[in-house]
Amino acid sequence: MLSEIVKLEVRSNPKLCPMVRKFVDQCGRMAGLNENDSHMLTLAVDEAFCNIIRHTYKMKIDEQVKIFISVEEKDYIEIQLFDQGTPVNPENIKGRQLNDVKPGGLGTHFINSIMDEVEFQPQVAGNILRMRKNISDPRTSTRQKIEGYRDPQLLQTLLNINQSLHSILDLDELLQTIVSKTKAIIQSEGTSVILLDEESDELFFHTTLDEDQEVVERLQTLRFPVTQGIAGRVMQTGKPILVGDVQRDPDHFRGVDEKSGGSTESLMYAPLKVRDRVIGVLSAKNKKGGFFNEEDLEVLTAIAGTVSLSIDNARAHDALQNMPNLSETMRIRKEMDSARLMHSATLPQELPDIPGLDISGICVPAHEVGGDYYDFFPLGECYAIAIGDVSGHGLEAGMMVSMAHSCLFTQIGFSSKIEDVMSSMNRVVYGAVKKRLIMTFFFSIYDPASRQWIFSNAGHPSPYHYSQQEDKWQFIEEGEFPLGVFEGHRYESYSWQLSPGDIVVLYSDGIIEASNDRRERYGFVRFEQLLSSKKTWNSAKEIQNAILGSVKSFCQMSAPSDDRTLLVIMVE
Amino acid sequence: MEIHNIPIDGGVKVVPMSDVDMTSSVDLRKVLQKLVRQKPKKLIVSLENVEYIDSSGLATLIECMQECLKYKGSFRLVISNSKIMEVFRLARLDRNVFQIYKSNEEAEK
Repeated sequence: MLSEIVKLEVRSNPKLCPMVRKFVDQCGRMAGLNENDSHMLTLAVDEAFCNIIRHTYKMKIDEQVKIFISVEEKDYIEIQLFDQGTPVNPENIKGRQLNDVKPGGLGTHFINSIMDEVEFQPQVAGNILRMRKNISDPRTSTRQKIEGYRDPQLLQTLLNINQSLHSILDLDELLQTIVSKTKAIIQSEGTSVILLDEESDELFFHTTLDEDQEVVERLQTLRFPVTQGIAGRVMQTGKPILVGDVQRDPDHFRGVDEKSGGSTESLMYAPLKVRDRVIGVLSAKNKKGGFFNEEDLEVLTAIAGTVSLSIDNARAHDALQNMPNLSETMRIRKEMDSARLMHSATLPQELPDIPGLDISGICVPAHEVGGDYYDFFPLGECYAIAIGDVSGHGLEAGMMVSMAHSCLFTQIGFSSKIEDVMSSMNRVVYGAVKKRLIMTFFFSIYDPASRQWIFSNAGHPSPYHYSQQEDKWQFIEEGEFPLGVFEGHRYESYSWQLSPGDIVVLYSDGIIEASNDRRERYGFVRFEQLLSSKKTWNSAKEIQNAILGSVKSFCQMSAPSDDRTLLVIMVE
Repeated sequence: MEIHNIPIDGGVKVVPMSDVDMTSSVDLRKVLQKLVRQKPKKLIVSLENVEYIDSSGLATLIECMQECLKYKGSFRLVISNSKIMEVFRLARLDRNVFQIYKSNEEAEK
């Protein structure tokens, strides 16, 4: 293995930049970076060197800068820049606000984006900037996978779409809005929403927007079997497809071109998925002035992910509303049904298999649909566990839960950092609150390797934690107020170390506030008594059943007035 | 730095002949500022001969674009080098900010 340190001593003269770049690029290539990565490394070091000249030495050109590069072959390349200027307070080195396209701070943004580690150490006389770039670190690729799309403007756009769509229950209006927004973002000549007709197993173009009105009219009459065409392939696999040159793809259903009279050059298809169910396809045809690329496909897929739940909701609502001769009572009942459908679509269909954890989760919906919500999903090596509750009932609460769910999924496509997730959720709920609806939300990430559990709590009832070591049940009290109260609030995140034998119980207030016909509440005392009633619980499911059983026998005949949600997590 | 000014139909094309960094972006800025004052309808900066651009280079281009927008001129970039494009991407300037073309012909249309 190659392990080397190379040193370069230069004056703080900007004219020397090209030489510094050549030196760094050669070291980068020697360390095993490819051409592009080495170019990026060079950019980071050049920016750091220029910052020293500009800020530390205030453009004095004959001060000293030392650059040490150490290479651990196939592992990392580390660069240290030493200057002898006045020690700089690291607080004053700020990255650029990314949505703010202004010069300044951009160099720091480059350094932070390119390097895996950046550390600034002011010394007694001078400063050291230490930066490291990993060469073949699998963590880098996981991180990118988790963070997904990096464009913060796209995230804002998607969250805005998500917010505006969830209030539209009319299917035609909804799909018109979706295709026109998609077309504008993707810059396509045409955009369609293709839906599955479950009765005939055919795909049809429900809504199309195209520069050529004739294409729109012709596509409206087109139906084809779900097994055919590229759209059919997307339905079957649930994966997006980019076709650069349609005429060469054997799967291209020629009927579309013949029927539409248009000529298709480049196409993109993204599945409209509600959890694992593919309900249709969002497609885009011909990029204005060019061809679609992988990045366009990512954007289309992200849009499809954001809008699919709204489409599913509106479709269910539409089907119920369009039943003929409905009396007013029936209409209200139907509305309840669609709210219930909406609600159940947001809940996980099965429990995840998280290494070292025994998990159980359930939401017992009240007669009048409430707004409880819980979810689990993998994030790289870690797992997200979420629980929330919208204040309010019925259709509005159902729509809010649905919106929150879509927001969460859109957000984690960009960043799953807890603070970012909480901010996005807060923004969406804040913007949507017109009817005094607020939402409690507990979001956490569990790392099975270290058993570390990081969470943030926006007003949700404090979880119970059983520590086996201390042999006692206690509240995890860290947390703040519900979502949607203060615009732009940053929620804190906290870290909790779990150990084998520990138990965490998350619940909604429907458990605590469950009441019997004497209007007594189940309350925390009974809850805690039940949890401590047994020395050793055998499984998460056993605890879940015991709690639900206890609440039920306490309430006796009284029907639940609020959803009862429980998540039990046992560390094995 | 050597910078070429080439008159084109409806405006002018600026072609820096080497890397745009802390030193040379000052030269580029001077040339662009002078041109912007004449308010050409179309101002193209072709980076086809540029192998390296840093944050000061990007800042110069952003500033020039903002000036052009003020008088409703069209500011276009030609980027044919993927490494240069990568720097724009890193700065999130690759979409919705600049009008970017792959070749001089397309930009001059």
